[in-house]
Amino acid sequence: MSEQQETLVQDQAVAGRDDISASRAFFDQRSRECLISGAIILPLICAIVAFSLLTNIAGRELLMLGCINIIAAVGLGLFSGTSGILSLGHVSFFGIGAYVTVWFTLPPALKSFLLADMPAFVREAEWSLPLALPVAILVCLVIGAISGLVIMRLRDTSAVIASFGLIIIAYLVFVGAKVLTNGKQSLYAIPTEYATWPVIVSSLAVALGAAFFLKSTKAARHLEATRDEEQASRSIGIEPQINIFLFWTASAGLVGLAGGLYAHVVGVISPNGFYLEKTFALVVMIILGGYRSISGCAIGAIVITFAEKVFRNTEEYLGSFAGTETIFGFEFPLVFGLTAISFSILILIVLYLRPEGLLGYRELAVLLFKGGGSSAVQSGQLATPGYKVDIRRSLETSGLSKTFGGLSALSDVSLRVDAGEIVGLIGPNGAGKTTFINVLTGNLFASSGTILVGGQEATSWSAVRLARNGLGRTYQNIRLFTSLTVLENVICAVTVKSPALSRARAQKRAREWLALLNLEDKAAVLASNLAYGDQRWLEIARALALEPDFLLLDEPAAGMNSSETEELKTLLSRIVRDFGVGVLLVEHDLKMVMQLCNRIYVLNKGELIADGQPAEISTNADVIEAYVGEEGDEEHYLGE
Amino acid sequence: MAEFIQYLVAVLNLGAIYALLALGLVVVFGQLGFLNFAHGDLMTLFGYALFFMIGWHTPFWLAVLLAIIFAGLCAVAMERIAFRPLRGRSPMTLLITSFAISGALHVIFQVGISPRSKPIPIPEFLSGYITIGDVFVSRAQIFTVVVAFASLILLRLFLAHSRLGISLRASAADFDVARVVGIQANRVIALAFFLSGALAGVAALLWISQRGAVFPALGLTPMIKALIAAIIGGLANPKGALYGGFLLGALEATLLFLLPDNLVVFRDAAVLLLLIIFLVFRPNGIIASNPEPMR
Repeated sequence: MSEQQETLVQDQAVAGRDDISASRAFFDQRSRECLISGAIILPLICAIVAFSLLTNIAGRELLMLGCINIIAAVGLGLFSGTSGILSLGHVSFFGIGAYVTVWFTLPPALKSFLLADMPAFVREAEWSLPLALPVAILVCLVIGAISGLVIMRLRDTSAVIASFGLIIIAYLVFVGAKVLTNGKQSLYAIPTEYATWPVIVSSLAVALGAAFFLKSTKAARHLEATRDEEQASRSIGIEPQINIFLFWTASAGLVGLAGGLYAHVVGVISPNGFYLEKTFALVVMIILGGYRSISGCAIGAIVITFAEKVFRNTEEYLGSFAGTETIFGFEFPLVFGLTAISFSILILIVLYLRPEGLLGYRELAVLLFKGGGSSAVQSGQLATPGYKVDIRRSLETSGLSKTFGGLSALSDVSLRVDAGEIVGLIGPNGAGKTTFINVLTGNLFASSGTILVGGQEATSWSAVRLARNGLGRTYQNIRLFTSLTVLENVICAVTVKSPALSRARAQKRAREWLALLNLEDKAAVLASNLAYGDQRWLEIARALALEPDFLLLDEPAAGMNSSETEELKTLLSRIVRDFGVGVLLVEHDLKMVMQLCNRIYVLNKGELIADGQPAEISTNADVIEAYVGEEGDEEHYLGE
Repeated sequence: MAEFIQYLVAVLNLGAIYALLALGLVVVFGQLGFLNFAHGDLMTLFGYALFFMIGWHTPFWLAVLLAIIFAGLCAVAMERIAFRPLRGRSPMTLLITSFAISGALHVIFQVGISPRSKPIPIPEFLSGYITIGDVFVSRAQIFTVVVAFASLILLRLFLAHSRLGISLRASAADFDVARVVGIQANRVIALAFFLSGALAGVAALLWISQRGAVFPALGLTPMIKALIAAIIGGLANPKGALYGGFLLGALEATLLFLLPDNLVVFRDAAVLLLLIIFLVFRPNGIIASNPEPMR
């Protein structure tokens, strides 16, 4: 049997065993964590509610508000935690949800008094709450989608400020649209009898279910990858905007649901209830719990609901002394804002002392049941059917130039890499090697020249499109998704390459890639906790999991010791042999380049000064001149 | 023609105030990479300082000067107490911190001073109108334009020629390199906050001179607009703040003139909406903070 046939048989054996384990576990690690966390939290909340009701620790209204806060916090956390953009604007959806439901549930007689000028078909409606809630959610989804078109283009500070602009706009509209909201005056006599426990609890179940479901999807994983390292996420073909849009919109719907319920628990709503104080309350909930985890948001909401009650009671208690008692000769002041200032201080304390919140960004299931899943993959086994690069594929640049301002970083670089060969790109420091890779992989615009991928003009393709069309890369300064595990880093790429793959199978394939690079025993480690050498391996694993036609490696051996360098050489030869990948190797270790590469290009000061077989390069006078001229007092290896 | 001149004055007037505010935000952003949400509260702090000093019979101009310095010192104190312990954390953390500080200050103003407006007596010469030909222009508006442009020129001279100003710019351009060449981080950051507070104070003076009162949420509306103006201008460059501020001023003045009376309540909402929509087309601002956008 030839080696390939042998591998094939083993593949089938592995695949057969996998079928059994796949039927046992449809879920990947992430979905299992989400499912278990949800299955713990929902009963836990119900138990707290039932216990409090039976023992009369807390009133019905407070408990209902607690559940509503959980829905709102989970909704906000779903977006903010996954995207890393802490939204200050979600209370606007809370308000919209409240107003829209009330339009339909308020008795028509009252509406013709309070909101006489509203459209007749709404004015005459008298729906029950479960009927009105879906409408409110729908409206919030639509408005969320419209605002999402803006938010998805913004990052970091800009996104936060824009979301804050949204809450101000919403407030001004609530106040200004008297016809629909009764302006600054409140809408009152909202039928609170609609807010029954079945409605509240089933809403809570729906919200938690939706949030945990979305958190378990590959979209969530991709968005987290973007949050950690946007450039790298684009380089494995993840389109950031669609995921931001999706999570923003979904979270708008969830917060809208909370708003609709809220109106029917408190019975009176006015614009001031949907403004800064509420925003503070929501932000403190998710910060306190640890906003990257859905469980954290829920627990933060529970804690803050009770804390708020205590603060308010204290305020009232102190308020009863106002104007009647004196302390140290001063009249006791009317105390208010105790709640608001406590929230502010609480946010500061959490940010100073424990920025990752009570749950440390982890889901409940992870905290309760430590330990990763089983590893069913034999070392070095790969079952990646059909990953064989067409031998005719080529990657080509012609006349590629790049200028920064007036400075020319690359000029007229023409280079070609065919499938199945290793091509070296060397040159002294500052020669433009990294710039070349960045232009080639779509991280920088080319100033002139063309890029051809498989003969197709690709000069203006985005990094995402290039990645999806067969370009994988690593970075000189490592860019991993630091808050994801080693396994998840690779799954991100697997799910871009094979979106139809089931969750369990995608995870299994990722494990196989890890096994190939001897990382499988570190699968459950956070990428940020990896040793430096392993981080390089993981970058290569992630790029390979994209099953690229061409792999562009930017100084992969930097920081590796000699035995790791040897392993790297073996690996590169193997992936070229097994998959037919074309490799472009940028490397300072000239010995390695000379040994591995079929052909070598030499860059100096942005220009190609030589290309050819290793033997030709090592004797080329220009090349020696370039190296010696630049770093004359260093010893250089230029072949045997 | 008369209307046009009034419109022009309104643009310059609003634009100058927003530009001063946005500049204050950008000066701090240049050092620490975050937008300070409590910037508006520095305006309010200026207002209360002015209110109390006038209450103690301080001459108006002395009170203004002291209040501007007070606002600057408050900003420095804010950095020392709240932001320095968080040095090195993500901009998002600093942003949320400043959001929390702003919330706390609101409550302190409400409880410690008063939830209601406090009147500030405006000197005689700032009230009333002057006529240029047949055009009436309010003196406060002219005062605003003059003071704002004088401040901008002063700031420009300071940044371009003084040793401190140059170290500030160097540090904004490259924080690490600036430290290597011996610029002390803490001093430069304190300076940036002082400037930002003083700029907020000047802006507050102009804002209050047209409204004659101070209240706890005084800074909120101008600040949120200035925040967006700063982003629209581009956070990397103080020039961006100027562009953003004046663009915002032009937008607001235009809406003020165009919107029929019954829709004027929506003016601020419309302004914010337009600003945010603008960001869709230029997410990195007029002067892009990242000259090499991703492909």
